[in-house]
Amino acid sequence: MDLAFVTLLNALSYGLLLFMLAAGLTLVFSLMGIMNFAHASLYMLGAYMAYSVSSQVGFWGGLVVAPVIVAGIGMVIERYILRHLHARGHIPELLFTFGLVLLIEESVKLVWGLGAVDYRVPVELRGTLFELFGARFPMHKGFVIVVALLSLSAIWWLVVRTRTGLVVRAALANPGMVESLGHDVGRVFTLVFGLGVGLAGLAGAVGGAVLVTEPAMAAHLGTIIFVVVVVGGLGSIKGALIASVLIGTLETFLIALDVRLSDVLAPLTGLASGLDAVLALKASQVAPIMPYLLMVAMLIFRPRGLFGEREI
Amino acid sequence: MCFRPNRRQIVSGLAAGVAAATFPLPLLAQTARLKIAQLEILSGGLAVLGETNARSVEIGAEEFNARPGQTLKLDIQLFDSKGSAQEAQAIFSQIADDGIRYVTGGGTSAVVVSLIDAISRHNERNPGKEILYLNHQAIDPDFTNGRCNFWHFRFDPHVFMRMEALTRFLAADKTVKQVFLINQDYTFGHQVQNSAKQQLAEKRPDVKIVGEELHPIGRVRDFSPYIAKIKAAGADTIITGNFGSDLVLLIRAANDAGLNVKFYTYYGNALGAPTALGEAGVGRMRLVTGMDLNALNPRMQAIHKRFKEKYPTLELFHAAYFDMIDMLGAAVKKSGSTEPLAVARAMEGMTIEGVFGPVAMRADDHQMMAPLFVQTFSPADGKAVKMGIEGTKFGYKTEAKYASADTRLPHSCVMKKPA
Repeated sequence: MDLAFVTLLNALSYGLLLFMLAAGLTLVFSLMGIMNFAHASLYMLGAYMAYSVSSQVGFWGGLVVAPVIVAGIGMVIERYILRHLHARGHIPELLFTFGLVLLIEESVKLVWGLGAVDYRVPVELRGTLFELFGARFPMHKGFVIVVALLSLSAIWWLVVRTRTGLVVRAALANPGMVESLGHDVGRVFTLVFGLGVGLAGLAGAVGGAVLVTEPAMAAHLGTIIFVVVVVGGLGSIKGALIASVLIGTLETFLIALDVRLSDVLAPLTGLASGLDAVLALKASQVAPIMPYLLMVAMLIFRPRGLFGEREI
Repeated sequence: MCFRPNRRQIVSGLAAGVAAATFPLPLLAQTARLKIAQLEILSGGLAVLGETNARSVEIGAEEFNARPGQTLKLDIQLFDSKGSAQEAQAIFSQIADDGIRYVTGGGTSAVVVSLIDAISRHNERNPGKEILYLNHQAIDPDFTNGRCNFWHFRFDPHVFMRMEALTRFLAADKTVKQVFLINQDYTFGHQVQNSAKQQLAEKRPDVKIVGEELHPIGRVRDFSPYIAKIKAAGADTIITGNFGSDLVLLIRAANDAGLNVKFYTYYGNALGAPTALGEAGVGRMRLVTGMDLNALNPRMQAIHKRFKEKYPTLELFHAAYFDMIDMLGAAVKKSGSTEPLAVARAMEGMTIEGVFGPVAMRADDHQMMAPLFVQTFSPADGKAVKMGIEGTKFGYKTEAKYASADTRLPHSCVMKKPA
């Protein structure tokens, strides 16, 4: 019981961290049709910025300033590079964001070195939030959950409830008309891109402190957030939320289970004698590939994802 | 196999013959230059390890070359193996073309395997132009057992030897009752897991292995599900070969969950682990290592000082480089030649005074017997713990030293030696 409960909380915390990243990616895609490969790199940049800023003004300052810096960088990229590429279709955009991945990774190594930096949550967040069934739930995991939920509500409120959100959605549906009505569509796009990238920066500022801030962090999360976005449905924030938590839960619970594939597939073992090595694997060993299997299955049976509106 | 030299080889062979006849071979009374190609992973996730290796060897060679009256000058040429066997092969062809006769470093086991194979093939086909492999870090026991080769020398105690030291120490600790093994799901992790089981069963049959986990290398972001499992299993001790972020994240998750166990590690002194540990690791984090920063001799103190001055963000955490350089120097002196074959023969069975006491190169499998230490993470007090590492106020206190002979294990190497 206690193991299941702790595992559920762990799953929620991990899933929501994934969500913060995936939300920005899917937001930019749904509003602008840009698939940003460099999203996870901007997450990394957020973590490193937060590390540098926090060494001057403390963790909380870093948490606020780093996403703003990353959003600023994102807006400059959108305004001066992506906008020109956008006119030429998706391929130049994809190639550019892919190049950006390499550029950011190498720059990070040059500026902050090859190893992990000492960026951690402050003392206030290092304690235990509560103890249930003898298992401790650390405060910083609760913090991840709170920040993720707050940012989710903020996006929802911004896009659905405000006038700016209205203009944004209108600019997407019919940019020409919105422009004729006197709105600066270009600026709207820049702002949206900045918002999405800023979310990645925020996720980095939080995730870097909770997990580890190192040059490989972008590559580690980069693939998994694409899985989240594809499973949830491209462009759907609701889908991203559900897929994040689903994938977090799937991975976490498989690790906690102490079964081998052969136990589950016992009736089939007679059929596949050559698969002994595969069947001897423990559930915890296959856990990390499950999200990818899920993605493949999703692409085969429901290519638009859980809540996506368009086919991939 | 029939070897038929092509025209180019005949021409170059003739040229070499003429050169040898015209100019006498370098006598060691004059200064001899010895080129060593060093392959390290200088890009990607393990770049910090490659960088540390490269800089340590650089400083070691610098110190070696600057010794008064030194007649041998080491010239290290650095290549990025990118951790890929294919890349290493390409670099190897280049090295062979350039006439470099010594290779060191490598990176992951896969790279080292491919290098050993390439060198053994090259040496068979190019007698007189043999290349010698000086392995300072790849510790897969196989390289000096099943896969042993005359042209490969290893200067670092391998996984099983390290486990021997670790379990000797652990066996003496009567508080250890339930052990959990968590390792990376690849060759090295498997070797740590299997040798831990086997050696614990021999030394402390009463100790129970309450769980074993193999997790994918470098892919786990949150170790708390594993920690929950370890806690549920009632473990009091963890043995892990994890390194880099796999160790950092494991430790952090354990700290968060308030898991009160002792960690026995292979890499607790490197790649971010000390930084991640902080106060919470004091007294609980143990390490088996060939490096003792508390017992540096004057030569090593000078090397350490120079290293930290030049590369303050890196950490000198490994001793094998320096024993390798010294033994190479001693072998060149003994054989009076820089020819790999003569140097290899001189190194077989050689004993020198290493950085932490006598080290010996076993002739049968080309495995160096070197001292090992078991250490505990502690605050740096300037006495028992001479210095903090990775810029922290913490370092490692030496609990036990195992001399070269203590971790001497039997081997299964059947080596074909050149006539």
